[in-house]
Amino acid sequence: MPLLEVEDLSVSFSTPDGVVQAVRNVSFSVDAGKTLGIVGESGSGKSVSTQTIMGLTRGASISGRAFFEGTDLFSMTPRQMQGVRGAEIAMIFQDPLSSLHPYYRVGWQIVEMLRAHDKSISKQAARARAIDLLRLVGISRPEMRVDDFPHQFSGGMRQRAMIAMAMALNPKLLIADEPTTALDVTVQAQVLEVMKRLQQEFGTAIIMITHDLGVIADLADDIMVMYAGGMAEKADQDDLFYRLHHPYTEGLLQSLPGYGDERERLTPISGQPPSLINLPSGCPFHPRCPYVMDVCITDVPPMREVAGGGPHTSACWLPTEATERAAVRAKVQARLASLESAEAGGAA
Amino acid sequence: MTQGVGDALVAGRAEAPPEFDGSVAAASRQIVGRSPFYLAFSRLRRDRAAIISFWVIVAIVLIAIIAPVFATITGHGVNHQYRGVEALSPAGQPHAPSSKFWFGTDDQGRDILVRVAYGARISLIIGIGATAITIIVGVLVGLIAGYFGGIVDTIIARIVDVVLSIPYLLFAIALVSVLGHINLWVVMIVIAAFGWASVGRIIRGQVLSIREREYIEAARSLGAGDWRIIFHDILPNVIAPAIVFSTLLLPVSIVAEAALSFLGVGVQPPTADWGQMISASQQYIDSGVAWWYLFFPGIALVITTLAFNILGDGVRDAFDPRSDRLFAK
Amino acid sequence: MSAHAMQATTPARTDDPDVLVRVENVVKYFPVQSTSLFRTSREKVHAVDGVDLEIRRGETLGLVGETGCGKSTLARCITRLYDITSGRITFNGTDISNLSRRAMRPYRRDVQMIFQDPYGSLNPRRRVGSIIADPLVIHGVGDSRLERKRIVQESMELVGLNPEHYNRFPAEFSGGQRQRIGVARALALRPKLIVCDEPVSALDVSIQAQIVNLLADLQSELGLTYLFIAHDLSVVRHVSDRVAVMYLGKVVEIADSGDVYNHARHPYSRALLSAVPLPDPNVAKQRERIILVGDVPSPIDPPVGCRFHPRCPKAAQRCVDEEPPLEPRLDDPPSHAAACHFPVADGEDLAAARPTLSADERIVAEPGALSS
Repeated sequence: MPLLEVEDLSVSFSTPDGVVQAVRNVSFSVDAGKTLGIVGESGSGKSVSTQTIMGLTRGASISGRAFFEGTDLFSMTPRQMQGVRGAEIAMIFQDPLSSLHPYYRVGWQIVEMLRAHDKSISKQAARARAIDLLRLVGISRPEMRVDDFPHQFSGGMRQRAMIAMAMALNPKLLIADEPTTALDVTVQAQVLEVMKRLQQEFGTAIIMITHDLGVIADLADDIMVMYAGGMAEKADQDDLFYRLHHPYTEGLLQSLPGYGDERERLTPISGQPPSLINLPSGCPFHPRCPYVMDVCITDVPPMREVAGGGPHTSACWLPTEATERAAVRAKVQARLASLESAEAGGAA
Repeated sequence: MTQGVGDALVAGRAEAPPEFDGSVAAASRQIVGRSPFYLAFSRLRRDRAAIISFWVIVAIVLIAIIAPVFATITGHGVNHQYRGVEALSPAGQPHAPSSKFWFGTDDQGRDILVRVAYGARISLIIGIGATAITIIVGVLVGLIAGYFGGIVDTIIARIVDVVLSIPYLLFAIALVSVLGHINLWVVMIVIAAFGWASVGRIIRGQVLSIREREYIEAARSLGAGDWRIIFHDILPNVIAPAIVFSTLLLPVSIVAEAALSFLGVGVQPPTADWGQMISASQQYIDSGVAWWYLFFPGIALVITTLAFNILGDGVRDAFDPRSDRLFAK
Repeated sequence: MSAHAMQATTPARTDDPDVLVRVENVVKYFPVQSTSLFRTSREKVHAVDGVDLEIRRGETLGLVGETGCGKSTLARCITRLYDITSGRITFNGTDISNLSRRAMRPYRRDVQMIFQDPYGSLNPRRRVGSIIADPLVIHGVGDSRLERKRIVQESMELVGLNPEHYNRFPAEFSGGQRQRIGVARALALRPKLIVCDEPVSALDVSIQAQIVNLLADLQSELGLTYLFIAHDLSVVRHVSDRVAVMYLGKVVEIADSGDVYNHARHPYSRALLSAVPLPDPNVAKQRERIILVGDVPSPIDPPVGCRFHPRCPKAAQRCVDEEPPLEPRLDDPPSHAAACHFPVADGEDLAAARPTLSADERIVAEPGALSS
């Protein structure tokens, strides 16, 4: 049985401008000890989904179920949720400077957290554990660092301190919401190493939310791509990168400079992400999709199984058989190429 | 299934014009709107209390404008002292409200209704005038101190400190007596003389943070000079707090004016003025003889001040819609 | 090798027509805000500590580095938004290092900047048309409002914006569109050099590609020269002809784009490259992983000798005693220079290297001792 199983989650907010559908019918699961990567850009709903699971969204209308070890989190009382948060499911955010309290020493914050969940632990024991945790995440001289304030830590150290705090109660699931986006690349590498090591040592499941497909390639076993609040594609790592199906996934990969030839023109995704209040009809990606068909404009595609490989679903009307799809792709690419050369010829 | 693929390509181009997105042409966070003032205005429109206050103020302004009409209707001049028994009792006491004098008379036999109407003029003119002067001077000072910093800022800051530490009323009295002849302008300037300092301080604070924004850096990199940056780039960002401040300053100025005339150093008799009337009515309070003399100008002052206060709150909330923010991700 | 070295360090003629900007030994220090009662503080932030660079006409020079390396400061020194502490900057043959604000004005037409934050670099209270017209008004270009409007709308079309949106406010545009507005503003006076300070870092991935393409198109259409600053190595590689890597206020390596990525000599460059996440799991699993120890030291008290020595997997005593000059190493062409005593050869496994210095011998201020 998966550790976390989310079924048909929908979250919306009413604002003076209209109802914002932040998350639409999203389902996913995480197995113990594995990493699920949730990929999306701004407005995709990736953060709202996990925040809702943790009970951190106020004023939202929520529907759906989130089973953690068999119990529906949404049916829990706030008290019960408090018990779950931290001890069973921990969360770390993008900006550690605003998640750590600036006025309290780092060690004290960890100690407080430990004692909040277990009143019996003594201050000395808690402090010793805090030092252990800081050592665990690779902070040098933790016995001195434990009394520092957050502003005395560098960005990477703060994020590692956050991870230490998150791991303090040995949670079964760690949700990391863009933990390395604000960090330098070498520091990001350090932090990701720490997370991988912790997962190996403690068997923690991880949900990694990011827009960086490189990080996903490094860390995630299974991946869910989100667009405009809904699911676009779900697959394991191999299938997603080498046998992708959804045109949005394709567009994301192709628009990365690291992907194709060095100095060739990049292939961006045209247009802008849609408004979550006025979603386009049918498939929300259709205005930007190079493969758009008539049916895409009228009917919302459900998640359909893509043939071959592991469990792989995609919300797209394109054919699910690999060879058929390849044929369609080729046809469209050829057409686009001829249009471009005609344009270039005409412009010259 | 494969029929139509590629045919529905937007304008048949691989890369559609970046503007196109087939849906509302804005990111998920915004709805296409107009200026920030327009947005604030539409938010204000939804605030019931503010709208009611607004109409009350409109009514008061109207009354002030058509004050002579009151005189005409009742047939009583604003400063005309009536001696008849309907105006003054045989002992020279004010007459209670009657069919002839709807608000009663004062100790000189004058029609209180008409005087209250004319008094609105003074309160509004001086209130708005003083506020305007305060804001203009305060914003200018704040801009200069905040932008240039250094020695300029230090000098201005010290002046502001001095001004803010002066006991306002005592000094107002002294200032007025020094200036001798008191007219509307004198009163306005006296009130503004003490108000500009707080405004200046707040605006300076705003300017300090605006100054560090990237668009100011961008303006500098374009070659813009200091004064251009101050008036073209910083000032527009400071107008919103300035407007909010002025709606909060208005009731303060009105009350300040009333206080000054209450003490006898504001607008001089026989000009009709609420503060003055309240002051003159003091002698009749203990004996409970002429409650209307205090009541009507008093209630006029309270209603006016309250209306401006509520509208000011509404304006401030309209410009600062924190509660409207929602999660975008 | 010594012949190569001499060639690289001999300064080119100052009137070399190919060179648009020459940066010579530029130093920029910021005084540290003192926390004690006594105002005078001797400490300085060594933001840029002796940089030599050339930007050639028509090229895109990429400037890469992490937080605290000084790349943004260097960019602002080149555009004279900051005054330099010492050194010389030559633009188009003229020494602009010490020009007054007034005297700099005409040069501002030729050097423009695009900023990182699409939300912060545009004045939210001004209409977009007014923002783009700013440079025109400041420099007196265009005889009438109508004329200026025409130029503005032309610029808007050039960057892919709808000219009808002339009167809108920045809040009504998306991040990518705002960045286009910033580009339009920078282009209004047809400058020679555009300094792009992390122009795509704050944008969504799919939008980044649009802006990168736009910048490339504009370069070929208008004959622009770019200084492209970024921390995202894949983007820099894509747009740049040459790349300079900065660390703690100094350039540690500079080479043609392909050479930096395929034949990086400096261990820091190698570490930087290996840390970039690649969206290709098979490649990611196979490549070299160099995880640096520790954090970037404070620029207030940079390490002695080679600044990278406290974290370098190949550090030795020489690295502490002698700061390595920036010059070609091994058998590299004059265009490829690195500042390292023990440059990394092709095929060398840096991950297996071990420093010969013990931890105490590394001279460095305690990272994070002062707020970063």
